[in-house]
Amino acid sequence: MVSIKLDKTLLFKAVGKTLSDDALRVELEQMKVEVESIDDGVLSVDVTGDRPDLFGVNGVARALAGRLGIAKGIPSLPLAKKPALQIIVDKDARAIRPFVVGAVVEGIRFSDDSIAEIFQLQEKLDLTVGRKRKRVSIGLYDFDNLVPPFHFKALPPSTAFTPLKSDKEMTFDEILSGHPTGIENAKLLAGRKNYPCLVDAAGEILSLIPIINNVSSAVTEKTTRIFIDHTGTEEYACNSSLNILCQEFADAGAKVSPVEVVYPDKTVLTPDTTPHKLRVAVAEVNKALGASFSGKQVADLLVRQRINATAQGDWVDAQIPAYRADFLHPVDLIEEVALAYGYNNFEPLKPTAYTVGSVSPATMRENSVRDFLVGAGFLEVNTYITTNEARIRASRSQAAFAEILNPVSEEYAVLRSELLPNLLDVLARNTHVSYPQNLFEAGEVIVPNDKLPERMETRLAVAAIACHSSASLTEVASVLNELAKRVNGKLFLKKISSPQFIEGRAAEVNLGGKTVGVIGEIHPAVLSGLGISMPAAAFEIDLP
Amino acid sequence: MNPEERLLKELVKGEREASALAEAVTLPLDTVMSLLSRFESEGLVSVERESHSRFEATAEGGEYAEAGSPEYRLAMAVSDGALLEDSVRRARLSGAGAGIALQWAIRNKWVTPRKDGPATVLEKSGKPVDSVAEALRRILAGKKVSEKELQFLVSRKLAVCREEKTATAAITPAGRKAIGSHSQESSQLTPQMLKDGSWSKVEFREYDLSTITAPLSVARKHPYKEFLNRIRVELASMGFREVHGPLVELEFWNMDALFMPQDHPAREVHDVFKLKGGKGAVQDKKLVYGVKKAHEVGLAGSRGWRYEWDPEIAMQLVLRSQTTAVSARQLASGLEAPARLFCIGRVFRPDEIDWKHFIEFNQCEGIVMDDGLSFRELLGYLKTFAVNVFGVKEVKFIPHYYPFTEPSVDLAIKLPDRGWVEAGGAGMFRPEMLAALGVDKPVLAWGLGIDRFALSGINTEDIRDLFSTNVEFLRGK
Repeated sequence: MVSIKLDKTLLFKAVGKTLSDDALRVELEQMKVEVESIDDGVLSVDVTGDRPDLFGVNGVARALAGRLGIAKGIPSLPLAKKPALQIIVDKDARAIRPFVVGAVVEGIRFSDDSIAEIFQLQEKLDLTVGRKRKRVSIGLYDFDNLVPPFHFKALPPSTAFTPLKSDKEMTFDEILSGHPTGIENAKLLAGRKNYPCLVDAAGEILSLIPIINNVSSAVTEKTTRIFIDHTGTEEYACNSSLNILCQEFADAGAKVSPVEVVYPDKTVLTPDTTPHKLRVAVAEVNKALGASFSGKQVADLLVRQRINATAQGDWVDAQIPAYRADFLHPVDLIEEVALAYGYNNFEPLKPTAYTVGSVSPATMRENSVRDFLVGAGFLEVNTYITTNEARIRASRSQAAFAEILNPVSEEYAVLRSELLPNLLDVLARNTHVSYPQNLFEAGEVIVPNDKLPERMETRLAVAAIACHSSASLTEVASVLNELAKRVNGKLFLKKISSPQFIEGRAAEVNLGGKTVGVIGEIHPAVLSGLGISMPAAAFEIDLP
Repeated sequence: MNPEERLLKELVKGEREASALAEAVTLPLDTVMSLLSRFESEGLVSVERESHSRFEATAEGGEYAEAGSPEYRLAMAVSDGALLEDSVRRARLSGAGAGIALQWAIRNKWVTPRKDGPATVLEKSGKPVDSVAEALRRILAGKKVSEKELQFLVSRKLAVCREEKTATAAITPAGRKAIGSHSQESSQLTPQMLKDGSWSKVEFREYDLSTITAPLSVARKHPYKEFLNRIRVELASMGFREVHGPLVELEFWNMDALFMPQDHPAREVHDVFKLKGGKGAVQDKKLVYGVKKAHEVGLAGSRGWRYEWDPEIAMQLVLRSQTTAVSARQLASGLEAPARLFCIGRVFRPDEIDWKHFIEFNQCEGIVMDDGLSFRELLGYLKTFAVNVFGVKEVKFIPHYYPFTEPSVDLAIKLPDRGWVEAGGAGMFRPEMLAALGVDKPVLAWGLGIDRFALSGINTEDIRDLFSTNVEFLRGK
């Protein structure tokens, strides 16, 4: 979800209709725009990530007008015949960011509000469609101060200009290491010898791409003509996001002029506003939705989604506006039909399939062990699977465990491969609480195992610990013996030596001929290390 | 010898404090107390009663003693000019703790808050000394603490005052005479009495009903696990079969097989935990090829994501971030229709750690695979869950976006006390995903947001309580 703010007055003006706050919430909710709050005429909304065309007030208005039946089909985007300028792409720049598209918009007055709205749209597009500027990066410039044609070329890091949010000239390298926006995005240019930038015919640098613009061509409320560039690694994403911006401006009444991009091997006129063509069988729509729409009904519903559609016998042919990039398959058209019809207007169908339901054998086994241990007087705990190395070391465990590459906290940086360290940790946190503290946990552990394709095995284990003034191996072995009888395994204990347990009071647990765990009296060094001044004895076994 | 006799004889040796007496005659203290009060009323002993107060640290106080008071931790975490939020995070504080910390740190003049635009910045001022934690440590160690400090700790609920009563008993001349006269009275029926019939000659001493109970540590199952079991039973009763999958997954199962493009934002390090130590493998080469094709050029009439799919990325080991990975594995295993499956399991996502967020939680989700399934049937399932799992009739369907389903929908339910609440997400798996996994029938997929309901089930708002390490809380006190 992408959070944006929308001006309610601008929205209603663009829709051509006013709605009550409640009615507005209901309508927007059904078009993937969730209203969080409406304060002082400003809507705070969350838009789903598949609809970048709804990140601007005119985009939302456009879709809302379709829903309300005020406007139909593809909105118009009149482009001037003549390109406003040429961008000449050099080979070196193209090797870094292969695609450039652009446009010039003019003829609207920018108030502070509408500039803020446009910068918000640009920022959200950079973040989402642009994948934080990696895939697409967008620049807006005051065109009046610039001399066409522009060159997209790679210049050495020592080149300097005065970037936005700075009052002094900085070299490219200084920007990447010393300017907040530069530092944030420096990794996008890591390892490059020269850096891509746009330069006008007078040699003025427009921007270091995809980092920051020159302050001299910054857009202000006095700007009357804006030059837009989208550079990136995917032509399709560059073009669809440019279409979103151009449509946003056109809806606000601006005149949009194309830009001619001259590559070493071809010349392209941008934005390409050609609608995508997609067709869907009426039968497929009805099968997927459980509906019985006619071809004409399907087409009429699509038209409300600002898609041009005509019924052709058993098929519906659709033309999708170029600002929408979320159509991969006819099923995407089917969802548009459902959205236009209204999810809540479908009559839910009672489930029909007959299948036998069941709780898994693993859960059943876990539950029977839990029942038994509670009956034996052990209190159940439920701990996190993420843990830390210190906790494992405190138990003197020797077991191998998996580590997280990108932990959010050192507290939770590794994965438990045993439950006992966690039970000891719970005891250590409750030394002020009355004893006996007999605890158990049944749960998943993650054990490194190079034989598996995932190289880590998820196992179900159970551990129990008795902690009170007379806790002993006898006590927990008796519990384990009774437990063994209930899981149909004969218990056999084989003496082992382990730093976790008191020497001579520890054993390997063998159930039904298989080694499944350990049992013993916790070593006093472990207990005192954890500040526990009560004896404890414990076992841990794998559950089959 | 019966208890009465033992007690009086012990007192002949000299006066005794009740608990020492109880130990000497090996009787529970409450039995000794009730005997003493009876003997006192009969004039057999004299009892000197005293009461004095003793201070104990509360659970919260215990935590402060260990980790330092929150205000101290906050003050120590402040570096000049740092945002309030950053200092709070560095001090590992959250929610109510952060509020308390800030309030006291300011009152103690350890930090000074300053507005910097919309943000709050903390400046260091005094030299913090954690006298609160120090006093608590002294209490825990049984050392002396000043009256003023004690009052302060009690007012902050970090310490409580326990009244302790002692009783010292001395035998009277009448008591000495009475020795030997209690042979016919007993406090406990014994096997011997039943065997030899002597119970008929014995008079059983009355209990003092106001003193007969003693505290008991009860064992019980974890309420959260019991909540999850109730959901399992509900789903099984609706015809769903429970399945499981590994917690450490390949990105392949967690993302690629779900048709999530490799540059999808949810695949970034901020949204999924990656594991140290190399890569895994997928043995089924045909499956890998199908997924690659679905991403690169599309399958089943799709134009695909159109980028070069990198098998190296797909083989990265991650902590499962969605149980949909389990559904994908099931679908790829040659599942036969009709099939209805569910999975309740842990998933992991990098997040803030506070009372509302944690990096581990449980997801509950499932799939239905059959010929002729439609969106309307999906809505029917969601409605059924609303009634059977959440116990509400009124539902609302809200369009949503999930990368692997189309159409996608969220379930909102109307709760009597809280109004509309989101209770789950669902959709029909995308044709590209199904084709890559070799499935030729429609599949409905749904997930229910159960943790919120688990919280109200155990009367808490703090999600960390679902994994509480507080034994008293777990005992249900």
